[in-house]
Amino acid sequence: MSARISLGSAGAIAWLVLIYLFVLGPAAVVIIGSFNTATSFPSDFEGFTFGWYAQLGEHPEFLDALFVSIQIGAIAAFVGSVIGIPVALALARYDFRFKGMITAFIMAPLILPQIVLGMAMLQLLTALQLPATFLGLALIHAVFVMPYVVRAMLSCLTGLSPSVSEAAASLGANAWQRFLLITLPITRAGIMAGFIFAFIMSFINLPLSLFLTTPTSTTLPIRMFAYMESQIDPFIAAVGSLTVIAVIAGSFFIEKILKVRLLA
Amino acid sequence: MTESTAKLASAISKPSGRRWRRRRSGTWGTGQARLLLLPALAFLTLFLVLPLGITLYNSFLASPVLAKPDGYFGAANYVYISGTGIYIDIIIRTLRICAFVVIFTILFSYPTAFIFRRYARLGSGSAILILSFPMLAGPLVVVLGWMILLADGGPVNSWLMWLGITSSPIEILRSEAAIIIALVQFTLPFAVLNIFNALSQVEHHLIEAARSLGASPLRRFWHVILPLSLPGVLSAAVITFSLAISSFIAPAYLGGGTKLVMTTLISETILGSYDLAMASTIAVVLLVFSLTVVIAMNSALTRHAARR
Repeated sequence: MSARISLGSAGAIAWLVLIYLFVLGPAAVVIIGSFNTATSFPSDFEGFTFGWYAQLGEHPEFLDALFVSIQIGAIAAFVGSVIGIPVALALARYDFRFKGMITAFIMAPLILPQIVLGMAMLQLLTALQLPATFLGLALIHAVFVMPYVVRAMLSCLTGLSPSVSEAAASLGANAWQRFLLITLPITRAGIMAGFIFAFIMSFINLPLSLFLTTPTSTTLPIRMFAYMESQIDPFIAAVGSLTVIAVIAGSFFIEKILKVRLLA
Repeated sequence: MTESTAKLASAISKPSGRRWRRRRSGTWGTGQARLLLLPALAFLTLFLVLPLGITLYNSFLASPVLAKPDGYFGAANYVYISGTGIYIDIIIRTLRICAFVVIFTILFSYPTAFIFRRYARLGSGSAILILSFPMLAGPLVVVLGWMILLADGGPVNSWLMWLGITSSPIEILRSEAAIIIALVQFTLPFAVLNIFNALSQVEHHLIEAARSLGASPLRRFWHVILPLSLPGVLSAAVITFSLAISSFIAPAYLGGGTKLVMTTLISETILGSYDLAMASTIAVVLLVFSLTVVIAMNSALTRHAARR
Protein backbone atom coordinates (compact mmCIF):
# COMPACT_ATOMS: atom_id res chain seq x y z
CA MET A 1 0.00 0.00 0.00
CA SER A 2 2.65 2.49 1.02
CA ALA A 3 4.73 1.49 -1.98
CA ARG A 4 1.78 2.29 -4.25
CA ILE A 5 1.29 5.68 -2.64
CA SER A 6 4.92 6.63 -3.08
CA LEU A 7 4.79 5.37 -6.65
CA GLY A 8 1.74 7.54 -7.18
CA SER A 9 3.36 10.62 -5.69
CA ALA A 10 6.53 10.01 -7.69
CA GLY A 11 4.38 9.96 -10.81
CA ALA A 12 2.59 13.13 -9.66
CA ILE A 13 5.89 14.90 -9.05
CA ALA A 14 7.27 13.82 -12.42
CA TRP A 15 4.09 15.07 -14.14
CA LEU A 16 4.27 18.42 -12.34
CA VAL A 17 7.96 18.82 -13.24
CA LEU A 18 7.14 18.27 -16.92
CA ILE A 19 4.17 20.68 -16.79
CA TYR A 20 6.22 23.38 -15.05
CA LEU A 21 9.06 22.95 -17.57
CA PHE A 22 6.56 23.25 -20.41
CA VAL A 23 4.75 26.29 -18.99
CA LEU A 24 7.74 28.21 -17.61
CA GLY A 25 10.37 27.03 -20.11
CA PRO A 26 9.82 29.59 -22.88
CA ALA A 27 10.06 32.63 -20.57
CA ALA A 28 13.08 31.05 -18.84
CA VAL A 29 14.76 30.59 -22.23
CA VAL A 30 14.26 34.30 -22.95
CA ILE A 31 15.78 35.34 -19.61
CA ILE A 32 18.75 32.95 -19.97
CA GLY A 33 19.23 34.03 -23.59
CA SER A 34 19.42 37.69 -22.60
CA PHE A 35 22.79 36.99 -20.90
CA ASN A 36 24.24 35.19 -23.92
CA THR A 37 27.24 36.79 -25.63
CA ALA A 38 26.15 35.34 -29.00
CA THR A 39 24.86 37.95 -31.42
CA SER A 40 21.81 36.10 -32.74
CA PHE A 41 19.63 33.05 -32.12
CA PRO A 42 19.69 30.09 -32.53
CA SER A 43 22.94 29.74 -30.70
CA ASP A 44 24.57 27.80 -27.87
CA PHE A 45 25.26 29.66 -24.66
CA GLU A 46 28.62 31.16 -25.63
CA GLY A 47 29.34 33.24 -22.56
CA PHE A 48 27.81 35.42 -19.89
CA THR A 49 27.27 39.15 -20.31
CA PHE A 50 25.13 41.99 -19.00
CA GLY A 51 26.02 43.89 -22.15
CA TRP A 52 22.64 43.51 -23.87
CA TYR A 53 20.92 45.35 -21.05
CA ALA A 54 23.40 48.22 -21.42
CA GLN A 55 22.60 48.25 -25.17
CA LEU A 56 19.18 49.61 -24.27
CA GLY A 57 20.81 53.01 -23.83
CA GLU A 58 21.78 52.93 -27.50
CA HIS A 59 18.20 52.31 -28.63
CA PRO A 60 16.30 55.51 -27.86
CA GLU A 61 13.30 54.19 -29.81
CA PHE A 62 12.84 51.47 -27.17
CA LEU A 63 13.10 53.99 -24.34
CA ASP A 64 10.55 56.23 -26.09
CA ALA A 65 8.25 53.24 -26.52
CA LEU A 66 8.71 52.31 -22.86
CA PHE A 67 7.70 55.85 -21.92
CA VAL A 68 4.59 55.69 -24.15
CA SER A 69 3.63 52.31 -22.68
CA ILE A 70 3.97 53.65 -19.13
CA GLN A 71 1.80 56.67 -20.00
CA ILE A 72 -0.85 54.55 -21.72
CA GLY A 73 -0.83 52.01 -18.88
CA ALA A 74 -1.18 54.71 -16.24
CA ILE A 75 -4.00 56.54 -18.06
CA ALA A 76 -5.84 53.29 -18.81
CA ALA A 77 -5.48 52.05 -15.23
CA PHE A 78 -6.62 55.42 -13.87
CA VAL A 79 -9.66 55.73 -16.15
CA GLY A 80 -10.43 52.03 -15.62
CA SER A 81 -10.31 52.54 -11.84
CA VAL A 82 -12.44 55.70 -11.80
CA ILE A 83 -15.12 53.94 -13.85
CA GLY A 84 -14.62 50.40 -12.60
CA ILE A 85 -14.64 50.97 -8.83
CA PRO A 86 -18.26 52.26 -8.78
CA VAL A 87 -19.24 49.23 -10.90
CA ALA A 88 -17.75 46.88 -8.32
CA LEU A 89 -19.57 48.74 -5.52
CA ALA A 90 -22.87 48.43 -7.40
CA LEU A 91 -22.37 44.73 -8.14
CA ALA A 92 -21.33 43.90 -4.58
CA ARG A 93 -24.02 45.89 -2.78
CA TYR A 94 -27.15 45.99 -4.84
CA ASP A 95 -29.48 43.64 -6.57
CA PHE A 96 -31.12 45.13 -9.58
CA ARG A 97 -32.85 44.09 -12.78
CA PHE A 98 -30.72 42.64 -15.56
CA LYS A 99 -27.78 42.33 -13.17
CA GLY A 100 -26.50 39.23 -14.97
CA MET A 101 -26.68 40.87 -18.37
CA ILE A 102 -25.05 44.09 -17.16
CA THR A 103 -22.24 42.12 -15.52
CA ALA A 104 -21.66 40.17 -18.74
CA PHE A 105 -21.62 43.42 -20.73
CA ILE A 106 -19.07 45.04 -18.43
CA MET A 107 -16.86 41.95 -18.48
CA ALA A 108 -17.19 41.56 -22.26
CA PRO A 109 -13.82 43.19 -23.14
CA LEU A 110 -12.17 40.18 -21.49
CA ILE A 111 -13.58 37.67 -23.98
CA LEU A 112 -13.70 39.78 -27.14
CA PRO A 113 -10.68 39.31 -29.42
CA GLN A 114 -8.34 42.20 -28.65
CA ILE A 115 -7.41 42.63 -32.28
CA VAL A 116 -11.08 43.29 -33.02
CA LEU A 117 -11.27 45.85 -30.18
CA GLY A 118 -8.25 47.69 -31.58
CA MET A 119 -9.64 47.55 -35.10
CA ALA A 120 -13.05 48.77 -33.95
CA MET A 121 -11.42 51.78 -32.29
CA LEU A 122 -9.59 52.46 -35.56
CA GLN A 123 -12.96 52.34 -37.36
CA LEU A 124 -14.45 54.83 -34.86
CA LEU A 125 -11.52 57.22 -35.33
CA THR A 126 -11.74 56.84 -39.12
CA ALA A 127 -15.50 57.48 -39.06
CA LEU A 128 -14.90 60.64 -37.01
CA GLN A 129 -12.10 61.50 -39.45
CA LEU A 130 -9.60 61.63 -36.62
CA PRO A 131 -6.13 60.24 -37.17
CA ALA A 132 -4.97 57.29 -35.06
CA THR A 133 -3.98 59.14 -31.95
CA PHE A 134 -2.60 58.67 -28.48
CA LEU A 135 -6.13 59.31 -27.20
CA GLY A 136 -7.61 56.39 -29.15
CA LEU A 137 -4.86 54.14 -27.84
CA ALA A 138 -5.49 55.20 -24.24
CA LEU A 139 -9.28 54.83 -24.58
CA ILE A 140 -9.25 51.30 -25.95
CA HIS A 141 -6.71 50.25 -23.31
CA ALA A 142 -9.04 51.72 -20.66
CA VAL A 143 -11.99 49.73 -22.07
CA PHE A 144 -9.88 46.59 -21.93
CA VAL A 145 -8.48 46.97 -18.38
CA MET A 146 -11.68 48.10 -16.64
CA PRO A 147 -12.97 44.53 -16.05
CA TYR A 148 -9.71 43.68 -14.25
CA VAL A 149 -10.29 46.62 -11.89
CA VAL A 150 -13.86 45.45 -11.27
CA ARG A 151 -12.67 41.92 -10.53
CA ALA A 152 -9.93 43.02 -8.12
CA MET A 153 -12.33 45.34 -6.32
CA LEU A 154 -15.07 42.69 -6.12
CA SER A 155 -12.69 40.18 -4.55
CA CYS A 156 -12.09 42.76 -1.80
CA LEU A 157 -15.69 43.89 -1.36
CA THR A 158 -17.26 40.47 -0.99
CA GLY A 159 -15.39 40.04 2.28
CA LEU A 160 -16.53 43.43 3.55
CA SER A 161 -19.42 43.55 6.01
CA PRO A 162 -22.07 46.16 5.19
CA SER A 163 -22.74 46.77 8.87
CA VAL A 164 -19.84 49.24 9.18
CA SER A 165 -21.25 51.38 6.42
CA GLU A 166 -24.75 51.06 7.86
CA ALA A 167 -23.49 52.15 11.26
CA ALA A 168 -21.99 55.24 9.66
CA ALA A 169 -25.25 55.91 7.87
CA SER A 170 -27.18 55.71 11.13
CA LEU A 171 -24.75 58.24 12.59
CA GLY A 172 -25.68 60.62 9.80
CA ALA A 173 -22.87 60.14 7.27
CA ASN A 174 -24.00 60.75 3.70
CA ALA A 175 -23.15 58.48 0.77
CA TRP A 176 -20.01 60.44 -0.17
CA GLN A 177 -18.72 60.52 3.39
CA ARG A 178 -19.33 56.80 3.77
CA PHE A 179 -17.46 56.12 0.55
CA LEU A 180 -14.50 58.38 1.34
CA LEU A 181 -14.15 57.60 5.05
CA ILE A 182 -15.16 53.95 5.23
CA THR A 183 -15.30 52.03 1.96
CA LEU A 184 -12.21 53.64 0.44
CA PRO A 185 -9.81 53.02 3.36
CA ILE A 186 -11.06 49.45 3.87
CA THR A 187 -10.73 48.57 0.20
CA ARG A 188 -7.43 50.40 -0.36
CA ALA A 189 -5.63 47.12 -1.08
CA GLY A 190 -8.20 46.18 -3.71
CA ILE A 191 -7.95 49.58 -5.37
CA MET A 192 -4.16 49.42 -5.50
CA ALA A 193 -4.21 45.83 -6.72
CA GLY A 194 -6.75 46.69 -9.41
CA PHE A 195 -4.69 49.66 -10.57
CA ILE A 196 -1.43 47.69 -10.74
CA PHE A 197 -3.04 44.71 -12.42
CA ALA A 198 -4.79 46.97 -14.94
CA PHE A 199 -1.47 48.68 -15.63
CA ILE A 200 0.26 45.33 -16.21
CA MET A 201 -2.49 44.13 -18.54
CA SER A 202 -2.21 47.32 -20.59
CA PHE A 203 1.59 47.34 -20.48
CA ILE A 204 2.02 43.84 -21.96
CA ASN A 205 -0.77 44.13 -24.53
CA LEU A 206 0.04 44.16 -28.21
CA PRO A 207 -3.06 43.46 -30.38
CA LEU A 208 -5.06 46.39 -28.96
CA SER A 209 -2.41 48.83 -30.16
CA LEU A 210 -1.51 47.26 -33.49
CA PHE A 211 -3.63 49.56 -35.69
CA LEU A 212 -3.51 52.65 -33.50
CA THR A 213 0.17 53.40 -33.15
CA THR A 214 1.79 56.35 -34.87
CA PRO A 215 5.51 57.06 -35.21
CA THR A 216 5.31 59.27 -32.13
CA SER A 217 3.15 56.97 -30.04
CA THR A 218 4.43 53.42 -30.38
CA THR A 219 4.07 51.14 -27.38
CA LEU A 220 6.85 48.86 -26.16
CA PRO A 221 5.18 45.59 -27.29
CA ILE A 222 4.67 47.05 -30.78
CA ARG A 223 8.31 48.14 -30.89
CA MET A 224 9.42 44.66 -29.81
CA PHE A 225 7.06 43.07 -32.35
CA ALA A 226 8.54 45.15 -35.19
CA TYR A 227 12.09 44.31 -34.09
CA MET A 228 11.29 40.58 -33.88
CA GLU A 229 10.04 40.57 -37.47
CA SER A 230 13.59 41.18 -38.69
CA GLN A 231 15.70 39.44 -36.07
CA ILE A 232 15.73 37.39 -32.88
CA ASP A 233 18.73 38.16 -30.72
CA PRO A 234 19.81 38.48 -27.07
CA PHE A 235 19.07 42.21 -27.14
CA ILE A 236 15.34 41.69 -27.69
CA ALA A 237 15.51 38.89 -25.10
CA ALA A 238 16.94 41.46 -22.66
CA VAL A 239 14.08 43.87 -23.38
CA GLY A 240 11.58 41.04 -22.88
CA SER A 241 13.28 39.97 -19.64
CA LEU A 242 13.02 43.48 -18.22
CA THR A 243 9.26 43.55 -18.84
CA VAL A 244 8.99 40.09 -17.27
CA ILE A 245 10.89 41.21 -14.17
CA ALA A 246 8.68 44.30 -13.83
CA VAL A 247 5.55 42.17 -14.16
CA ILE A 248 6.77 39.59 -11.62
CA ALA A 249 7.52 42.39 -9.17
CA GLY A 250 4.06 43.90 -9.67
CA SER A 251 2.16 40.66 -9.30
CA PHE A 252 4.26 39.60 -6.30
CA PHE A 253 3.37 42.91 -4.69
CA ILE A 254 -0.33 42.33 -5.35
CA GLU A 255 -0.39 38.75 -4.06
CA LYS A 256 2.01 38.93 -1.12
CA ILE A 257 1.94 42.52 0.14
CA LEU A 258 -1.61 43.60 -0.74
CA LYS A 259 -2.82 40.01 -0.28
CA VAL A 260 -5.36 40.26 -3.07
CA ARG A 261 -5.90 37.03 -4.97
CA LEU A 262 -6.46 37.94 -8.58
CA LEU A 263 -6.15 34.57 -10.19
CA ALA A 264 -8.05 32.17 -7.99
CA MET B 1 -39.73 37.44 -17.58
CA THR B 2 -38.96 39.95 -14.84
CA GLU B 3 -39.10 37.25 -12.23
CA SER B 4 -36.72 34.97 -14.07
CA THR B 5 -34.18 37.73 -14.67
CA ALA B 6 -34.36 38.69 -11.02
CA LYS B 7 -33.75 35.06 -10.14
CA LEU B 8 -30.78 34.96 -12.52
CA ALA B 9 -29.39 38.16 -11.07
CA SER B 10 -29.71 36.98 -7.50
CA ALA B 11 -28.13 33.66 -8.42
CA ILE B 12 -25.12 35.49 -9.84
CA SER B 13 -24.74 37.77 -6.86
CA LYS B 14 -25.48 35.08 -4.32
CA PRO B 15 -22.76 35.69 -1.71
CA SER B 16 -23.37 39.38 -1.20
CA GLY B 17 -26.98 39.52 -2.36
CA ARG B 18 -28.21 37.78 0.73
CA ARG B 19 -26.74 40.34 3.07
CA TRP B 20 -28.09 43.33 1.16
CA ARG B 21 -31.53 41.97 0.49
CA ARG B 22 -33.17 44.80 2.39
CA ARG B 23 -32.33 47.22 -0.40
CA ARG B 24 -33.42 45.03 -3.24
CA SER B 25 -36.95 46.27 -3.76
CA GLY B 26 -36.47 49.90 -2.70
CA THR B 27 -36.29 52.31 -5.61
CA TRP B 28 -33.67 54.26 -3.66
CA GLY B 29 -31.29 51.31 -3.75
CA THR B 30 -31.65 50.65 -7.45
CA GLY B 31 -31.34 54.35 -8.17
CA GLN B 32 -28.00 54.45 -6.44
CA ALA B 33 -26.85 51.32 -8.24
CA ARG B 34 -27.85 52.97 -11.51
CA LEU B 35 -25.78 56.01 -10.63
CA LEU B 36 -22.75 53.83 -9.87
CA LEU B 37 -23.11 51.90 -13.13
CA LEU B 38 -23.85 54.88 -15.35
CA PRO B 39 -20.26 56.04 -16.06
CA ALA B 40 -19.17 52.53 -17.04
CA LEU B 41 -22.21 51.89 -19.22
CA ALA B 42 -21.78 55.27 -20.95
CA PHE B 43 -18.06 54.69 -21.42
CA LEU B 44 -18.54 51.20 -22.87
CA THR B 45 -21.37 52.38 -25.11
CA LEU B 46 -19.19 55.12 -26.59
CA PHE B 47 -15.92 53.25 -26.90
CA LEU B 48 -16.97 49.60 -27.25
CA VAL B 49 -20.52 49.33 -28.60
CA LEU B 50 -20.24 52.28 -30.99
CA PRO B 51 -16.89 51.14 -32.50
CA LEU B 52 -18.25 47.59 -32.87
CA GLY B 53 -21.44 49.00 -34.42
CA ILE B 54 -19.39 50.95 -36.95
CA THR B 55 -17.42 47.78 -37.67
CA LEU B 56 -20.66 45.89 -38.30
CA TYR B 57 -21.88 48.70 -40.59
CA ASN B 58 -18.57 48.80 -42.49
CA SER B 59 -18.72 45.06 -43.05
CA PHE B 60 -21.66 45.74 -45.41
CA LEU B 61 -19.72 48.26 -47.47
CA ALA B 62 -18.01 46.68 -50.46
CA SER B 63 -14.31 45.90 -50.30
CA PRO B 64 -12.28 47.62 -53.06
CA VAL B 65 -11.36 44.20 -54.48
CA LEU B 66 -15.02 43.62 -55.37
CA ALA B 67 -15.25 46.77 -57.55
CA LYS B 68 -18.84 47.53 -56.54
CA PRO B 69 -20.40 50.91 -57.39
CA ASP B 70 -20.10 53.76 -54.90
CA GLY B 71 -22.74 53.77 -52.21
CA TYR B 72 -23.11 49.98 -52.23
CA PHE B 73 -24.53 48.54 -49.04
CA GLY B 74 -25.06 44.79 -48.85
CA ALA B 75 -23.65 41.39 -48.05
CA ALA B 76 -21.15 41.27 -50.92
CA ASN B 77 -18.13 40.80 -48.64
CA TYR B 78 -19.81 37.93 -46.83
CA VAL B 79 -20.73 36.28 -50.12
CA TYR B 80 -17.16 36.75 -51.36
CA ILE B 81 -15.65 35.25 -48.19
CA SER B 82 -17.94 32.24 -48.20
CA GLY B 83 -17.17 31.58 -51.87
CA THR B 84 -13.40 32.04 -51.78
CA GLY B 85 -11.20 29.05 -50.97
CA ILE B 86 -8.46 31.00 -49.21
CA TYR B 87 -10.90 32.52 -46.73
CA ILE B 88 -12.66 29.22 -46.10
CA ASP B 89 -9.27 27.55 -45.54
CA ILE B 90 -8.32 30.21 -43.01
CA ILE B 91 -11.61 29.85 -41.10
CA ILE B 92 -11.27 26.06 -41.03
CA ARG B 93 -7.61 26.30 -39.96
CA THR B 94 -8.59 28.68 -37.14
CA LEU B 95 -11.27 26.30 -35.86
CA ARG B 96 -9.00 23.26 -36.26
CA ILE B 97 -6.22 24.92 -34.25
CA CYS B 98 -8.73 25.91 -31.54
CA ALA B 99 -10.10 22.36 -31.36
CA PHE B 100 -6.61 20.85 -30.91
CA VAL B 101 -5.70 23.48 -28.34
CA VAL B 102 -8.86 22.82 -26.30
CA ILE B 103 -8.30 19.03 -26.39
CA PHE B 104 -4.61 19.13 -25.41
CA THR B 105 -5.08 21.87 -22.82
CA ILE B 106 -7.83 19.91 -21.05
CA LEU B 107 -5.82 16.67 -21.25
CA PHE B 108 -2.80 18.37 -19.66
CA SER B 109 -4.60 20.56 -17.16
CA TYR B 110 -6.98 18.00 -15.63
CA PRO B 111 -4.25 15.78 -14.13
CA THR B 112 -2.36 18.89 -13.02
CA ALA B 113 -5.40 20.33 -11.23
CA PHE B 114 -6.11 16.87 -9.80
CA ILE B 115 -2.62 16.66 -8.33
CA PHE B 116 -2.99 20.17 -6.87
CA ARG B 117 -6.21 19.08 -5.20
CA ARG B 118 -4.80 15.74 -4.01
CA TYR B 119 -1.78 17.43 -2.43
CA ALA B 120 -3.67 20.33 -0.92
CA ARG B 121 -0.56 22.17 0.24
CA LEU B 122 0.50 22.65 -3.39
CA GLY B 123 -2.84 24.07 -4.47
CA SER B 124 -3.13 26.60 -1.70
CA GLY B 125 0.47 27.78 -1.85
CA SER B 126 2.46 29.62 -4.45
CA ALA B 127 2.51 26.66 -6.85
CA ILE B 128 -0.50 27.88 -8.82
CA LEU B 129 0.72 31.47 -8.78
CA ILE B 130 4.03 30.36 -10.29
CA LEU B 131 2.22 28.26 -12.88
CA SER B 132 0.08 31.23 -13.90
CA PHE B 133 3.10 33.44 -14.36
CA PRO B 134 3.12 33.25 -18.22
CA MET B 135 -0.36 34.79 -18.36
CA LEU B 136 1.08 37.79 -16.52
CA ALA B 137 4.32 37.93 -18.49
CA GLY B 138 2.22 38.23 -21.63
CA PRO B 139 2.21 36.29 -24.86
CA LEU B 140 4.95 38.34 -26.56
CA VAL B 141 7.78 37.20 -24.28
CA VAL B 142 6.44 33.65 -24.22
CA VAL B 143 6.24 33.51 -28.02
CA LEU B 144 9.77 34.93 -28.23
CA GLY B 145 10.83 31.99 -26.08
CA TRP B 146 9.10 29.53 -28.41
CA MET B 147 10.74 31.18 -31.40
CA ILE B 148 14.14 30.59 -29.81
CA LEU B 149 13.26 27.03 -28.75
CA LEU B 150 11.62 25.87 -31.99
CA ALA B 151 14.01 27.55 -34.45
CA ASP B 152 15.39 25.40 -37.25
CA GLY B 153 18.77 25.01 -35.53
CA GLY B 154 17.32 25.55 -32.06
CA PRO B 155 17.31 23.50 -28.84
CA VAL B 156 14.15 21.46 -29.52
CA ASN B 157 15.55 20.26 -32.83
CA SER B 158 18.87 19.30 -31.18
CA TRP B 159 16.99 17.34 -28.49
CA LEU B 160 14.88 15.55 -31.10
CA MET B 161 18.05 14.59 -32.98
CA TRP B 162 19.84 13.56 -29.78
CA LEU B 163 16.88 11.36 -28.87
CA GLY B 164 17.05 9.88 -32.35
CA ILE B 165 13.50 10.90 -33.22
CA THR B 166 14.72 12.67 -36.30
CA SER B 167 18.06 12.52 -38.11
CA SER B 168 18.05 16.01 -39.57
CA PRO B 169 16.52 19.26 -38.29
CA ILE B 170 12.80 19.48 -39.03
CA GLU B 171 10.87 22.67 -39.61
CA ILE B 172 8.69 23.23 -36.55
CA LEU B 173 8.32 26.99 -36.89
CA ARG B 174 5.89 28.12 -39.56
CA SER B 175 3.63 25.15 -38.88
CA GLU B 176 0.26 24.72 -37.21
CA ALA B 177 1.98 22.46 -34.67
CA ALA B 178 4.08 25.38 -33.44
CA ILE B 179 0.96 27.53 -33.00
CA ILE B 180 -0.82 24.72 -31.14
CA ILE B 181 2.16 24.05 -28.83
CA ALA B 182 2.45 27.73 -27.88
CA LEU B 183 -1.30 28.16 -27.37
CA VAL B 184 -1.58 25.03 -25.21
CA GLN B 185 1.24 26.39 -23.07
CA PHE B 186 -0.42 29.81 -22.87
CA THR B 187 -3.93 28.57 -22.03
CA LEU B 188 -2.90 25.77 -19.65
CA PRO B 189 -2.73 27.92 -16.47
CA PHE B 190 -6.22 29.36 -17.09
CA ALA B 191 -7.64 25.85 -17.49
CA VAL B 192 -5.78 24.49 -14.45
CA LEU B 193 -7.19 27.31 -12.29
CA ASN B 194 -10.75 26.61 -13.45
CA ILE B 195 -10.59 22.85 -13.06
CA PHE B 196 -8.82 23.19 -9.71
CA ASN B 197 -11.62 25.43 -8.43
CA ALA B 198 -14.22 22.93 -9.62
CA LEU B 199 -12.35 20.01 -8.04
CA SER B 200 -12.01 21.92 -4.76
CA GLN B 201 -15.78 22.20 -4.60
CA VAL B 202 -16.30 18.44 -4.85
CA GLU B 203 -17.28 17.74 -1.30
CA HIS B 204 -15.03 15.44 0.55
CA HIS B 205 -17.76 13.49 2.29
CA LEU B 206 -19.12 12.32 -1.09
CA ILE B 207 -15.75 10.73 -1.87
CA GLU B 208 -15.59 9.31 1.65
CA ALA B 209 -19.08 7.87 1.24
CA ALA B 210 -18.03 6.18 -1.98
CA ARG B 211 -14.94 4.86 -0.26
CA SER B 212 -16.89 3.49 2.69
CA LEU B 213 -19.21 1.72 0.25
CA GLY B 214 -16.17 -0.05 -1.13
CA ALA B 215 -15.56 1.86 -4.33
CA SER B 216 -12.02 1.52 -5.64
CA PRO B 217 -9.99 4.72 -6.31
CA LEU B 218 -10.69 4.34 -10.02
CA ARG B 219 -14.43 3.94 -9.48
CA ARG B 220 -14.46 6.86 -7.05
CA PHE B 221 -12.81 8.98 -9.69
CA TRP B 222 -14.99 7.79 -12.57
CA HIS B 223 -18.37 7.87 -10.81
CA VAL B 224 -17.96 10.68 -8.26
CA ILE B 225 -15.11 13.10 -8.89
CA LEU B 226 -15.16 13.28 -12.68
CA PRO B 227 -18.92 13.91 -13.11
CA LEU B 228 -18.93 16.54 -10.36
CA SER B 229 -15.96 18.36 -11.89
CA LEU B 230 -17.32 18.36 -15.44
CA PRO B 231 -18.79 21.89 -15.25
CA GLY B 232 -15.30 23.12 -14.36
CA VAL B 233 -13.89 21.24 -17.35
CA LEU B 234 -16.51 22.79 -19.61
CA SER B 235 -15.83 26.31 -18.37
CA ALA B 236 -12.08 25.68 -18.78
CA ALA B 237 -12.83 24.60 -22.36
CA VAL B 238 -14.80 27.81 -22.99
CA ILE B 239 -11.97 30.00 -21.71
CA THR B 240 -9.37 28.02 -23.65
CA PHE B 241 -11.39 28.25 -26.84
CA SER B 242 -11.97 32.00 -26.56
CA LEU B 243 -8.30 32.63 -25.75
CA ALA B 244 -7.23 30.45 -28.68
CA ILE B 245 -9.56 31.97 -31.28
CA SER B 246 -8.60 35.50 -30.13
CA SER B 247 -4.86 34.86 -30.05
CA PHE B 248 -2.80 36.96 -32.38
CA ILE B 249 0.89 36.92 -31.42
CA ALA B 250 1.39 33.14 -31.52
CA PRO B 251 -0.08 32.66 -35.02
CA ALA B 252 1.58 35.86 -36.29
CA TYR B 253 5.07 34.64 -35.41
CA LEU B 254 4.94 30.88 -35.17
CA GLY B 255 2.67 30.35 -38.17
CA GLY B 256 4.59 32.64 -40.46
CA GLY B 257 2.94 34.34 -43.41
CA THR B 258 1.54 31.11 -44.85
CA LYS B 259 -0.45 29.78 -41.90
CA LEU B 260 -2.92 32.63 -41.49
CA VAL B 261 -5.73 32.44 -38.97
CA MET B 262 -8.64 34.86 -38.64
CA THR B 263 -6.87 37.33 -36.33
CA THR B 264 -3.72 37.51 -38.46
CA LEU B 265 -5.92 37.76 -41.57
CA ILE B 266 -7.50 40.90 -40.07
CA SER B 267 -4.10 42.47 -39.48
CA GLU B 268 -2.92 41.52 -42.99
CA THR B 269 -6.07 43.02 -44.47
CA ILE B 270 -5.60 46.32 -42.65
CA LEU B 271 -1.82 46.69 -42.56
CA GLY B 272 -1.31 45.13 -46.00
CA SER B 273 -4.07 46.72 -48.07
CA TYR B 274 -5.93 49.03 -45.64
CA ASP B 275 -9.19 47.33 -46.63
CA LEU B 276 -11.36 48.32 -43.67
CA ALA B 277 -14.54 46.88 -45.21
CA MET B 278 -13.12 43.38 -45.67
CA ALA B 279 -11.34 43.50 -42.32
CA SER B 280 -14.66 44.40 -40.67
CA THR B 281 -16.37 41.46 -42.36
CA ILE B 282 -13.70 39.04 -41.13
CA ALA B 283 -13.95 40.55 -37.65
CA VAL B 284 -17.73 40.03 -37.61
CA VAL B 285 -17.30 36.41 -38.70
CA LEU B 286 -14.66 35.93 -36.00
CA LEU B 287 -16.97 37.44 -33.36
CA VAL B 288 -19.86 35.24 -34.46
CA PHE B 289 -17.78 32.07 -34.15
CA SER B 290 -16.25 33.10 -30.87
CA LEU B 291 -19.46 34.30 -29.20
CA THR B 292 -21.60 31.42 -30.49
CA VAL B 293 -19.33 28.86 -28.89
CA VAL B 294 -18.98 30.83 -25.65
CA ILE B 295 -22.73 31.45 -25.33
CA ALA B 296 -23.67 27.88 -26.25
CA MET B 297 -21.25 26.42 -23.73
CA ASN B 298 -22.31 28.89 -21.06
CA SER B 299 -25.98 28.07 -21.49
CA ALA B 300 -25.08 24.38 -21.25
CA LEU B 301 -23.34 25.19 -17.98
CA THR B 302 -26.33 27.14 -16.69
CA ARG B 303 -28.70 24.31 -17.61
CA HIS B 304 -26.41 21.86 -15.86
CA ALA B 305 -26.33 24.04 -12.74
CA ALA B 306 -30.12 24.39 -12.80
CA ARG B 307 -30.58 20.60 -12.97
CA ARG B 308 -28.56 20.02 -9.83
